[in-house]
Amino acid sequence: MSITNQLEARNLVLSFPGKTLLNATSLTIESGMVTSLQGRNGTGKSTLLRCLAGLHAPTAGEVMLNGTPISKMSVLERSRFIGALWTERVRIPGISVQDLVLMGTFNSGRSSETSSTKLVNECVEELGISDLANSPLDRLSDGELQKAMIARALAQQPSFLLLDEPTTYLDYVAKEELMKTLVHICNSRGVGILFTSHDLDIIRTYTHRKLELKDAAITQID
Amino acid sequence: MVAASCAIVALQLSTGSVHIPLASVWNSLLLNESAESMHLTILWDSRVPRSLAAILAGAALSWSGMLMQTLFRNPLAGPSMLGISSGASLGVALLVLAGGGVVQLGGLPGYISIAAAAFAGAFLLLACVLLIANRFANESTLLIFGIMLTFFTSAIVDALQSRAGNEALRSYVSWGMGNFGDCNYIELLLLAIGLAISIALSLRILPRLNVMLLGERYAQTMGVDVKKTRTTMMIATGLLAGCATAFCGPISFIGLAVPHVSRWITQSADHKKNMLSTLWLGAIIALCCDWLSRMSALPLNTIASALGAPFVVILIFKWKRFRPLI
Repeated sequence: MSITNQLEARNLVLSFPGKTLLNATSLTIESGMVTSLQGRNGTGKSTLLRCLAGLHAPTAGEVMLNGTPISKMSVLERSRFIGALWTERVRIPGISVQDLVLMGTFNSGRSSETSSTKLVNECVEELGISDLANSPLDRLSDGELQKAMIARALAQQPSFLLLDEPTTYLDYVAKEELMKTLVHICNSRGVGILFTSHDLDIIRTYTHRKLELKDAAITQID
Repeated sequence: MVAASCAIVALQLSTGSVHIPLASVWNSLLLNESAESMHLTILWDSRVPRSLAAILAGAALSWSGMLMQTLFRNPLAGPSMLGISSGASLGVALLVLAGGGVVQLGGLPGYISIAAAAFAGAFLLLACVLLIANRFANESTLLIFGIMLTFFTSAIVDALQSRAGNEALRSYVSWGMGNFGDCNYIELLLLAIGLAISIALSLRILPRLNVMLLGERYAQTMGVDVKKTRTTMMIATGLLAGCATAFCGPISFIGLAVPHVSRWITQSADHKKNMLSTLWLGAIIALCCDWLSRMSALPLNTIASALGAPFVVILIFKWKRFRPLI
């Protein structure tokens, strides 16, 4: 019997002086589903993702992970449920793809180097970047770097992946490849994926559920 | 690297204004006996403590540079970035310059008074930075705050210098040029304890240091308690740079450059791969600088910067593979 994990925002209010990004909005992300979040620039998609990851405290409301308030969980506990991709590009020349993905296993506190290496190899293989394992990050294309960053998040063995504009800067082929991989991860591992995007083609083709953030509220699009 | 280390230690101990043959150095160190009693005195009273000071301070400054470059994710960061070195300078300036050349705190001997003043200054500024770091600052804000604090303390030191008498000014300038030759065995013990505590703290957070290179947002989502890690890094750096500056003066260049050379040798930014090599290289490079300083009768900081900076520039331009790896 598969366990269904739930990441839930309850009556979330997100406001800054002079601007309200979210007004008592609720949202549930379930494992095994790819959900997209679209909306115009500045509507608060990235801030919402940061709230769901526990990096930004909402003005009011609560983010719950399987019924437990995320604010009550330690950083380490949260990292065992949520992996994330942010918009910053990390191109450190002294870190290889393998080193990067190995960093993802930090939260597991694995004592055995063999089990970490096995997990790293699995994640790298799943993202189709095994041949780049020893390449430094600054020598990767944008698409390859995104895959490496997602492999790192996958090495955290999370129940949810929150991806902030994962396909930005990628050409169409790279976008398609990345989205197919994400759908595969969702199906094979039962990971719940929430990603933000402006690319309507990608959203239409690869998501199970489409959400839009508009006028401080989230609506589902059919 | 081991052979080069042995060679530089041998050179440091046997050469100087009095040449001591290697056999005599060997006998003096292992058996505490020598054909000439003067050799024993020179070795145990001058060259051995001086070499140990160079080894400990070089290792301390280099590892503190590595921690700062990781904390700020900036290849130009060094131990001076958090205002630690300038805090130490301020402490010494207040004692030496404002005290009109009297370098004594209470009944303490002069050398302990200077070290205590440097420590107090370094930790006062570190406390300010820690306070800011734990309240609101992200890494960029923290870096700017550290640099501004450095400017501010430099201004106070400049003001004190402009009003100081000749003797006080000379004492302060002499401390500011950096010197491994003034440490006694008690100071060496304190330096070693500071280094040992900082290494123990660094080992505790070693797996987190690599994750910190990805930035605070990634580190947090990957399970790293960023505030705790940042505080530990700053305390370790404060101890390392504070001890080295207190006992040997503000030494430039080594803390900034050695981490880059270490990463170039290991071809990696991984802290596990770089910890030992950074400590080792720092010790060796400090020994080389001290030996050259003694041979040329030039201040340590002059040698470190005048030879070290062109060395790194040559590395960058001549060897294409050399590039900052963070």
